[in-house]
Amino acid sequence: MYLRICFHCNLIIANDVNIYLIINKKIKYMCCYGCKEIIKFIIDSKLGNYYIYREKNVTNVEKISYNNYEIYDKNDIIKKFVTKNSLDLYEVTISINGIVCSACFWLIEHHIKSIIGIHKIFINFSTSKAQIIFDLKIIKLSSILMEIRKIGYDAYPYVFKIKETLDNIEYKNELKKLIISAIGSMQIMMLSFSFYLYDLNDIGISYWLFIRLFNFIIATFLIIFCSEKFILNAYRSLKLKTLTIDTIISLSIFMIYFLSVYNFLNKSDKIYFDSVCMFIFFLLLSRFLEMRVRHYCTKLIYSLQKLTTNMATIIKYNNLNIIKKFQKNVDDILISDIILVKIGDIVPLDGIVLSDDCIVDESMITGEKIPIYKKRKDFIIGGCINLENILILKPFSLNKNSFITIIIQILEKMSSIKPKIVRTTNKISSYFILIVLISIFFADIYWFFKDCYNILNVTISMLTVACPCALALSVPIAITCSTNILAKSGFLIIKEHVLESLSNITDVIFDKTGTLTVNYFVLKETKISSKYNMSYVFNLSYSLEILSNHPIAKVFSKNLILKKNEIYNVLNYKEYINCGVEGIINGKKYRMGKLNFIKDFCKIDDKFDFFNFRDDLCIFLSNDYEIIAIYHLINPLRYSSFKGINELKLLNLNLHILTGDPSYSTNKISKNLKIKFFFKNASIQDKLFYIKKLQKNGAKIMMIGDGMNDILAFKISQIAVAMGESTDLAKISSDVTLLNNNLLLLSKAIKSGIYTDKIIKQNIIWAVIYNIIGLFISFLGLIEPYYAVIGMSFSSLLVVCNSLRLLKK
Amino acid sequence: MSIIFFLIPFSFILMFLAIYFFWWAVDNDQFDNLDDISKYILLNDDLFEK
Repeated sequence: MYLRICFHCNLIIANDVNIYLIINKKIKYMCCYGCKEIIKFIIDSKLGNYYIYREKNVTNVEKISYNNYEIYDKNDIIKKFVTKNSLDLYEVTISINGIVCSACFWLIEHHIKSIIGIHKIFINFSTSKAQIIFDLKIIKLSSILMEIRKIGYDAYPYVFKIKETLDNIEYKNELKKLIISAIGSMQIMMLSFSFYLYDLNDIGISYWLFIRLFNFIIATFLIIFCSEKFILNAYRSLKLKTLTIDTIISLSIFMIYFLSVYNFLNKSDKIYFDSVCMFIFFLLLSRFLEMRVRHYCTKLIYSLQKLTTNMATIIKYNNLNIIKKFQKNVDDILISDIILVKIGDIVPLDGIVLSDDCIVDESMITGEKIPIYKKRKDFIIGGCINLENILILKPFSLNKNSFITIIIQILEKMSSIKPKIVRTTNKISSYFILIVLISIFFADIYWFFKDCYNILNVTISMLTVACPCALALSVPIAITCSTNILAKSGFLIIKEHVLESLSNITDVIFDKTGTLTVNYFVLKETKISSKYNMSYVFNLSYSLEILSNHPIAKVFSKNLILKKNEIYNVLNYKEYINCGVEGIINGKKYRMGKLNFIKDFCKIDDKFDFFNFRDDLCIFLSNDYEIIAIYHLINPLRYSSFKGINELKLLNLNLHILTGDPSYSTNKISKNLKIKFFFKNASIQDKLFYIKKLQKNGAKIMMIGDGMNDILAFKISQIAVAMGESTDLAKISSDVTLLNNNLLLLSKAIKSGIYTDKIIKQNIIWAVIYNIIGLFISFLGLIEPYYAVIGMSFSSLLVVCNSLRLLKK
Repeated sequence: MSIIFFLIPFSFILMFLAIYFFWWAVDNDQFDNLDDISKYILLNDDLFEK
């Protein structure tokens, strides 16, 4: 017998299953009728290309639950999801689970497009959402969802959160303004070019007037359409009696503009329309980049929402007989309701288990891949998946108070807090603005007595020269450069304060499992009783474990697969929760699992020397009287751990391991990596306490972790780094995501943080010196506004170029 | 040189046309998703025969 793999979902097909289809004149096998139906459907719809394009495996069909889609056709419910547009068409956004690569959305798009009644479909791969415009008279919403289900994906309607919609509108508006100012500035620079070479007398009055007129129109147009934000901000800050950079920006814009208008009417050459336009363009550009970063963070936060569903089945019963069963929107569920969760469904709300035992997959929240066993009266977090037995649940809280909703609210608040160094420079510049305004006042008095006609020129020069643009740019541009270069290598910074904190980190704390080690098991050692033939034992274990979906079982199907396998027929196969598996092969009963599970089954003798059983995981294979084999599984260290740790040591940082794992393996790992400080069996509170103690002694802490139990520690450490494999929740509460799980990047990031710090300091020093000297010279009336504009742009450019050096490293 | 009396207004019209088309593109969600659309072109429709 050889191994067969399902053509659709790439799962290994069990021995006794014989389902096949003839595709491209070849026989292809499937694991279940669900997959067969889907393949047939896809091929019949002439969408078979999907199987050529796809890069990753899709979800097994049997794991997708059959939802009751008809609920979405009810009048009051459909109104929540569907909006009517012009032409009597309806628009709906659908969230699709199970999209893994671009072939998936190719398939969905081509299939949905071919349905009568569908007008348009757009799929966004990164958010897994599809926007569909359809005719409600021809096709029902439930039929659309059903069609997506037919090709193997689970879909449900989605309502955009207000913040997402607002972000989208803001993005579009800012993009429009940026485009206008870019095109406008290009035009105006072309038109003004001649004035840099010739003056009024050379050009001739009629041409001069004509070109200047168009300059005037473009500048006016740009100020009206693009500068409203600065002016509004300035107005607001005036109301609050503070000075911001926007105050001085708006003042400069208006002064330069009106002076130019005045000189234009008097046919004088001191006209600076082009300067105003470039000024606006550069300001908009830097703010646009900043906005993109902000929006990216909100998107990350809302990806948490994917975990929850919006419909739940409510039951009513008396004396254990279900008398009524209906669907309800999750927002409307009351605490008095009783929820029923089918196998494979997402648990809609936090709740207490009322039914008997069940197993849930909490991996999307805790990162723990091993399913968790829950018994009656246990607490379940909304968002996990029910794997076995029908689950009956009593809600613990309303949806608006549920665990995930609250986390999202906290994160929303946090994402709007600005990094400290940006706040400091803003503060410095607001003092600076005050100084500028005061000195302008004195300059005006001075010039009033000396040369009345020069007042306006001096004022404008001072305002422009002293505009702390370079100061305002100095920090954000350096941070943007480093952020980009680090993101390219896989160190994705989510919160902006990271770069300034990186340079003064003193202590680095690692979680163990999933951080220093990988988060899956690998077979390290095997011991087989001398009575048995090795390949026979392997085949026995393989045949037993291949039937289970448990992550530990997968270790066997992966590791033993290389040695030409023969699969035996397993009869009476049974899986024991939290213990192991059992089955009859060739008339003999075998068990495979934990020691306690084997104990009740056969006697344990001391013939096996139980290597270092204190730590790590051991799986036993036995028949009804003796142990046949012991498999020793470990979490191996990550490939990058050694080098990464050594690099960090070169930077003179204190390293710690802080883990919840009580086993001996922590000692081994810390010895291996030569890390002095380690603390095992640490609860969440212990972790907090440990970090707080270090911080009391002045330590600045970088915490690297991957799971739910690190989240609180993340919050109090200066920099929280989540591994790329960690849960969405951990990623969102962290400041940095290590996309490729490469620990070497930590030292690289710290080095680049120190370098960035240096560049920022250079920038600030330059900006301050320039501004003070410029202010002084313009006070004396030695600078024309025209040169002031060049000077200002030059100083900003210098700051930008200095920061661009960061991109080289 | 008097040609500029024609060329400048003409470039002006082009500028507004450019702005108009950019606006139109933004309003039609052309800039919403800059990552995935590029993949579409790689997907042909006729590689697979039944």
